[in-house]
Amino acid sequence: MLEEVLKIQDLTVEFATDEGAIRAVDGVNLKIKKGKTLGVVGESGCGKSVTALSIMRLIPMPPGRFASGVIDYEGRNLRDLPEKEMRALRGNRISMIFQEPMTSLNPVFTIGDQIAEAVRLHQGVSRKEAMDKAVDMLHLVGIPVPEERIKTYPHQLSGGMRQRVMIAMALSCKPDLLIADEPTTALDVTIQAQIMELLNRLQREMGMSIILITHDLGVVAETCDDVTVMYAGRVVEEANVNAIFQKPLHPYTHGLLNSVPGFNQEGTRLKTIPGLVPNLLRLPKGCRFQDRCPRVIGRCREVEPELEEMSPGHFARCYNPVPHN
Amino acid sequence: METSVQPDKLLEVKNLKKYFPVTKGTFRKVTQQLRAVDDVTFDIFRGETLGLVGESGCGKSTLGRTVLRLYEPTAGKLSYNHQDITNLPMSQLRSLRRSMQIIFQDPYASLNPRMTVGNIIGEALQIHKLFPDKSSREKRVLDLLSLVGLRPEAMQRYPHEFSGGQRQRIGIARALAVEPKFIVCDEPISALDVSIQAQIVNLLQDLQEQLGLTYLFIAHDLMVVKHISTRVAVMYLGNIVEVAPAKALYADPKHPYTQALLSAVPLPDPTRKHQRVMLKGEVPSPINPPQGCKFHPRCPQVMEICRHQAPPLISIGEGRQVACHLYPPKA
Repeated sequence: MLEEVLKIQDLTVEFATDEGAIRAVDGVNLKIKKGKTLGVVGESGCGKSVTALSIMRLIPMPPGRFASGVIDYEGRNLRDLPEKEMRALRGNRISMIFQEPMTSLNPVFTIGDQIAEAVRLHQGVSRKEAMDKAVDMLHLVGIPVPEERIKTYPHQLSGGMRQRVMIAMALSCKPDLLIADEPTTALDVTIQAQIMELLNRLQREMGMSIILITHDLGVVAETCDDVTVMYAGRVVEEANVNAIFQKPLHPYTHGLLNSVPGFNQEGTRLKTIPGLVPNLLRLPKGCRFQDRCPRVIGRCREVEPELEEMSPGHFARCYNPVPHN
Repeated sequence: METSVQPDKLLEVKNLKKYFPVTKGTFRKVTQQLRAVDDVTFDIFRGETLGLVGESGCGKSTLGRTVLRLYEPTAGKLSYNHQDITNLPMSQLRSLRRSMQIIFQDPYASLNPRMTVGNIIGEALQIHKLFPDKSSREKRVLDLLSLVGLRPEAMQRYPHEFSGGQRQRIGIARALAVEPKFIVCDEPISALDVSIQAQIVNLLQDLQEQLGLTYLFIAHDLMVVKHISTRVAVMYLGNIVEVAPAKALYADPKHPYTQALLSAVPLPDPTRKHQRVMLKGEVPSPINPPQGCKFHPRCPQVMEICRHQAPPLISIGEGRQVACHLYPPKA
């Protein structure tokens, strides 16, 4: 069993709304192994980004609130860590890259200044040394002529280049854990392939762990070791990547895989998951997926199933899992 | 120049160009031209779906809008239903627009937030004076809502009350209101979740069968395009570099750019690792595109001739066309 870098247990995050509190993340458990990539998959509103922001302690509070749970990083519970200690970790031991590189870079500073800022803040080096480090990092992420590029502003770069800058910034302090929230969603496939290869190479060289949040199952299949599937604030399935793709147990995972064109497709129509994600304010009694589920049985409408180990290392939250022969 | 017109061509595009002026200074002096669409020729056959793929900035959306004359072409010829529409005056263009519609990418930005769904869909009927009295118009709106899978109550509600997938259904109902024959689908599912994408793709296919529609389907998701298209055209920097039946293109891409593009698509199967043609660098600027073949600076199979001479789009048999010096025209 590999050592775990981060372990989340029973995390519940609530947000106050005019119509009452909603649980964006509800009793979530996650484990990230050292040097491995965990994919967190799910549709908009399933709680995957809130989980990531909780690890970084970037949830605005209020309206947000940790209702329960432990975020265990090296024996420390990040949930209760004083902000000063958290700041020493954030961007240093634990880093994050976001989906939209244009809005997460500061438009009025050069990219060199922005990378150097992170380095100076955490490593206490001089401005000159920090700038040299910025050049090294830009070189590492494959930006040509980094000595010149550190003087440019974000708007002067393309989307792919900006995402490289974000990665350079996130990795400048050699984090143990990188959280990548839809890092390639805004990019073209050719650039996506370059960025994913870059992340894989840097992971091998630096030995960091990655949490990859994405809805692109192709990216998951190619880069992740383990996968957690989320639905309406819950973890519904958890296994290694081969098990998820070859023997998905939860009907939601199965449905997601089937709705991707070019995968398990026969005939001229895509298989769909009917209906919509439930409103978190009006969750049904029992399983949250019941109204969209082709395998629903009576019990699903009574009591919500627990996340159970169905085969070694393969967990699912379902009374009537998809059979595999 | 006049060739015999085949009966099944719904849209014919010949040497189409769309340049945007790049201006500089207070007096907005035109200093350069951005060649978004740079000499493109293709046909769309009645009842088919032509998929159009390429990276952002390759000109695929501009091409989609120019064939509808939402942008005025800089040069070239557009024929719709065997009628030259390149210079059709606005008054006649309006009646033509009944037949040619567009569905936009962003279902959040393309619906007026202050109008009810009933008014959004009914507006087009009013403009084209299709159902002059209110009750028949309402009935038509209700029929359209049921056609795209929305409940009748939707009529009195506002766009913000709907999810992304439902809003895209509203956008589709609006496009269908005037009974078009040809619809440009400009990234219609890019903003939607995976399970919802499949619902919309199926809806578009159902509607095509029921109503005999012809689609120009623009998208950057190559697997969705493969699924929905009869034929696929690949664009790079304002040019079409390859056209082929969908299955053939994906099974055996000819142009080095198509090969690289397809190999970059991650496969949703962890046991299959495919050989990737990794492209170096990024798409050059369409303001100063490279000489010769525009793809030559990134092409893994570049030859001397590619640096000087742009390859024309030629037929290579089996309904396929490619613009690449690797494929000499058959004598």
